[in-house]
Amino acid sequence: MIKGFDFLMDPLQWFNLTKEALTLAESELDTSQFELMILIQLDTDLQIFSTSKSQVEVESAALLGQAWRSLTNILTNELQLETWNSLTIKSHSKVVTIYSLGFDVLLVILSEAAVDSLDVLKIILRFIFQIGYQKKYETVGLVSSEGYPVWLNSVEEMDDFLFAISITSLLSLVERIDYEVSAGGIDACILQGTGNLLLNVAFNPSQDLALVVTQQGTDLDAVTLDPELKSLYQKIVDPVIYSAIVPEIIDEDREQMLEEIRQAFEGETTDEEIQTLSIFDTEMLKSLENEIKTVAKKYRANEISIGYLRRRMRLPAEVLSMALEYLIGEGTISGKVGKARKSGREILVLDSSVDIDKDDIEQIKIVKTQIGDLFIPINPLLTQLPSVQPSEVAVQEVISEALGEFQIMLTLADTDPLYLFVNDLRSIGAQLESSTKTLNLLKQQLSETDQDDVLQTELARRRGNLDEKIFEQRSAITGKVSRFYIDLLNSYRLFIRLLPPPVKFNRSKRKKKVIVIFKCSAYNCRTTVRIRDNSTTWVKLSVFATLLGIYDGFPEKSPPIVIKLKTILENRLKNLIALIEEEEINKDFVLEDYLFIENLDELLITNTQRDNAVNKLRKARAGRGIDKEDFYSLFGQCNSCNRWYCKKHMVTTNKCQYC
Amino acid sequence: MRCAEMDEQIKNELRTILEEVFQKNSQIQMISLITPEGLPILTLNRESENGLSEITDSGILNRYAALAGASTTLGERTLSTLSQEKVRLIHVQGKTKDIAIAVSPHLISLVVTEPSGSPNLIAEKLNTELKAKL
Repeated sequence: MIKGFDFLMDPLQWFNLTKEALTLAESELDTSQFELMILIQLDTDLQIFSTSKSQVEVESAALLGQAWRSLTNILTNELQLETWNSLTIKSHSKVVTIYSLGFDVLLVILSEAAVDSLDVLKIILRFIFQIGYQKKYETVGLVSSEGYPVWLNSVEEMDDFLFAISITSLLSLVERIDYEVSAGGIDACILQGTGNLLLNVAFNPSQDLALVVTQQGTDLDAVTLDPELKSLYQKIVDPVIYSAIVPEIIDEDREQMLEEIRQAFEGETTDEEIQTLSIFDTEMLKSLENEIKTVAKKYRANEISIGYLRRRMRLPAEVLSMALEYLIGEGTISGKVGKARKSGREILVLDSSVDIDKDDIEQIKIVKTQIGDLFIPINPLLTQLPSVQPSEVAVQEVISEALGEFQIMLTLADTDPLYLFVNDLRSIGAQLESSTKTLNLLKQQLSETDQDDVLQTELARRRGNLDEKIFEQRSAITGKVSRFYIDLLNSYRLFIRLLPPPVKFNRSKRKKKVIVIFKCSAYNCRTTVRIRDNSTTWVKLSVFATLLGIYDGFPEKSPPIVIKLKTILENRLKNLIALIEEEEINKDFVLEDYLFIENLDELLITNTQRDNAVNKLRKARAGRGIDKEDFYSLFGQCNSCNRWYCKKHMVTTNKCQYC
Repeated sequence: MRCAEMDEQIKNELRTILEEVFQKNSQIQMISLITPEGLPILTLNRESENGLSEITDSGILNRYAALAGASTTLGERTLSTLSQEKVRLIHVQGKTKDIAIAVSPHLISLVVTEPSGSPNLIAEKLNTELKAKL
């Protein structure tokens, strides 16, 4: 066996490597579906390799090679095609696909028409890394865009689901950077840690797969991809809508483990569970339902990729998965989420055969609610668990952490999608501004021209069109702003479960900071925690806690810096609510009423601010003693009134004395 | 508003340093300096006629600051699963632009260049150079 090549490799080494990879891949494939799999290297001395099942004569292979060359010449020279990677010829029942694997190596596959030969390429790629690049990379993994592991090779024992989940964060990051900086699509992302870790993620042209390599070191070459590897990887795609068979049991070990957890945690998570569902506002669920139904109808698809839905809905994977489980649980959508047999990607499989009418749905809903009251719907929480843990990690520890409400809240209180929302609004706002300017110009021209009838009519026609356009832009803004407001309130409902609104702000000697004071909500209790921090996050929390009616009012006698920020926030909110409550979009409008959407992000708390605030509270100590308890071990939140109390005034971990 | 709070003298010094960096490397399109808490410090942008302009629109500044904040958080989520390290550098190679975000305890630098403009090297160098100033 070839054990790790020195770089760069020569054509013969590359041929030998692909040959070994194909042999190993054969053992993982259902060979009954493939009639022929051969490798040909079109070098001066022709190299041929056929798998155990395939038989091919040298002459035939030479002929195939010749045909490929002629076609390549025609396509690149005559038709000026830039790239020429694969050739597929289909009959009714068979398909021949030829892939160019680099260094003049061709892979020829003859299979049944329904078989996806890209799967073969995915497996070969894995073995090429495993045999040829084990010296170069510590970890190599292929992850689908929705964060599902296709395969993983790692020097250290690592769970592939955990690995894929961690890469999903990076995929969101890249998506976001591309969007904000208009980078025209992303080819690769390199991440360096403060230690020695280097990580390189390369994207295929359709951006549905991510190839991840890691290595220790500081030399960036350690994680670069050779051109051959890159070109091979870029041939692989994952179609967005994918037909596949979903097995009844996804993964026996995983199912068994989940079943055990279900039993272990029965009776403990009802309240948390209901709380987690409160982030799904009806509008989001409705639009998800519509999206699924439209795709199903439009493409006559009964399998929809979860990645496709995530991108369409712009939802974090965890939220989407919970929303789907909710819709399925409620009977709004009839189907299940499963794993495609070959590609391993997650898909939603709809039961198209059952046609339920509206009355039935209502009936099912009622029954489900009743059942829901009887049993603990723990499934949404379980979807957050990685399937199998590395053996060294104590399973219980991981489970309790994953199920810990706090961890889930941290994940859910993610405001990145809201920032994207604000950007969308901003761009419609900019369009409205420019339409308004054009309209004013037209109005002026109209008032100046009174003789020329033709010009008058034309200007009036344009004005009519523009009025209509402005009306549409304003309706779009009003619609989006209403949804934003719901999301905004929901995000603060979650924040208030993570962070307590302060009872008082005091001046601090340091200019930009204030002293933020938290107190037990019991009337006479003196348990107090103080932190010195930037006021932004805490002022926002106070304003929204008051708005949501959870706290009585904004702390009086606050320092000027706090009052100033509070006033800005309240003005923004006032403008926002005024726009939502505007009964109908009347024809006369003032552009100034819309300008505030430019700064809507001032109402949000960023994920970093959220994490900083949590960290501050974790470091905060009551009094000056050697007490080692932090805020969260001293205080708890009542699930009924949402107020924070010291442990003395809590009856259970989530109920206060007064509720 | 936020920028005004920063000491004008320090800001001027930073501006001079950034202008030099822009001058030395024609591939740089934008540099944005952000505090580790996510507040914008200074953002310079190259205009089409080769001149430089400072971005003062708080909307845009906040967007970049949010981007830097989100990037470090999301990057950290990835690294925390693989090792216990924190993010030092994120380099994203786009089709029309290359972007790097360098994170150090005192500063986050966001550098946007043309493709293959090595924004990663520029951002890291900036963080080291500006350490003394902040």
